[in-house]
Amino acid sequence: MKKIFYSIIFILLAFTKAEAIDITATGSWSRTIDASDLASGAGSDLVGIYESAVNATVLTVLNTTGNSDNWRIDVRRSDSTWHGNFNIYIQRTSDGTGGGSISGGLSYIAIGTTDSQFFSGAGDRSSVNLQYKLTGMSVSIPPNTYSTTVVFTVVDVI
Amino acid sequence: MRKIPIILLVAGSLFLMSGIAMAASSTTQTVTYAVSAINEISVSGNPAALTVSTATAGSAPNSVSDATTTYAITTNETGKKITGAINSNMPAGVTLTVSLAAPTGGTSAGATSLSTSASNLVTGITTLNESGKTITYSLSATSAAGVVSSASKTVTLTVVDGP
Repeated sequence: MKKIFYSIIFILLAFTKAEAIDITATGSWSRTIDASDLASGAGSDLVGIYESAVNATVLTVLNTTGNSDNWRIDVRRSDSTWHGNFNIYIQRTSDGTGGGSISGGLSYIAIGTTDSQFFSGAGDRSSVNLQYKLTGMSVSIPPNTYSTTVVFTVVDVI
Repeated sequence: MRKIPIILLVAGSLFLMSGIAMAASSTTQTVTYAVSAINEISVSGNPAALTVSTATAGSAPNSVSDATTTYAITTNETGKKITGAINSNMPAGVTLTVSLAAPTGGTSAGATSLSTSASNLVTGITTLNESGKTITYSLSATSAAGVVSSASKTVTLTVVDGP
């Protein structure tokens, strides 16, 4: 009986803890690049760097166990149609609101195809603004629609 | 038999810690860029007035030319060409030609007579941005053209699809 009791208790605890924190993201970034983006009209190349609004994405972390429940946000991208010359970066532009803490991510980091640690915090946190930057644009990029899915993962840490 | 609960305790604790450290949920955002077709051409200004006013006795009047203007081009497409046309045809016996220096990879058609029908001036243009390419205009007239009043023509250069 004890064996069964211990098993049930620990399995329940483990699953309860593992599914505690949720993350949501709202907003998106869409940009059309055309002749108006030439650096100085005909004869010039396209402006190479594009930045989104500072709140292109708004993140919310919730369902923590309290202000001492630590978490971190990882970020990566999953390309649909992309160009090898493009590099996309992300930075946090606000602390958002919440009773815990938030730190890191205040300068651009490259979004790769594997998870990178972006920023961290503790407790529930809402309205964290994020900004994107795209580099590598030029007239050598063929006309097309390019898109990538940015994946944010909240990891509950001790 | 007492070892079994202890093993379960340890295993359960590891499972619990693993759950705390690795618990994760994800959300996504889509970032989209649309790059439109860009085919831009511009010129540096207008050439000086071209006036045919001299001749060598026994020959047709001397032609005159101007190479003081340039064009700039940007395209992010392949297989483009530049055509040229004027807004109204030249008087009988008077010919206006234009020659465009080719950008990298392109081929200039050389001196080409202009009319209201578009003529190929440069072909084989692919994804480039260049400026300062010389435009050379030349005006010639036959003796039979007689005296022609001063007139202006609007030359339109266009980047279009083509070989």
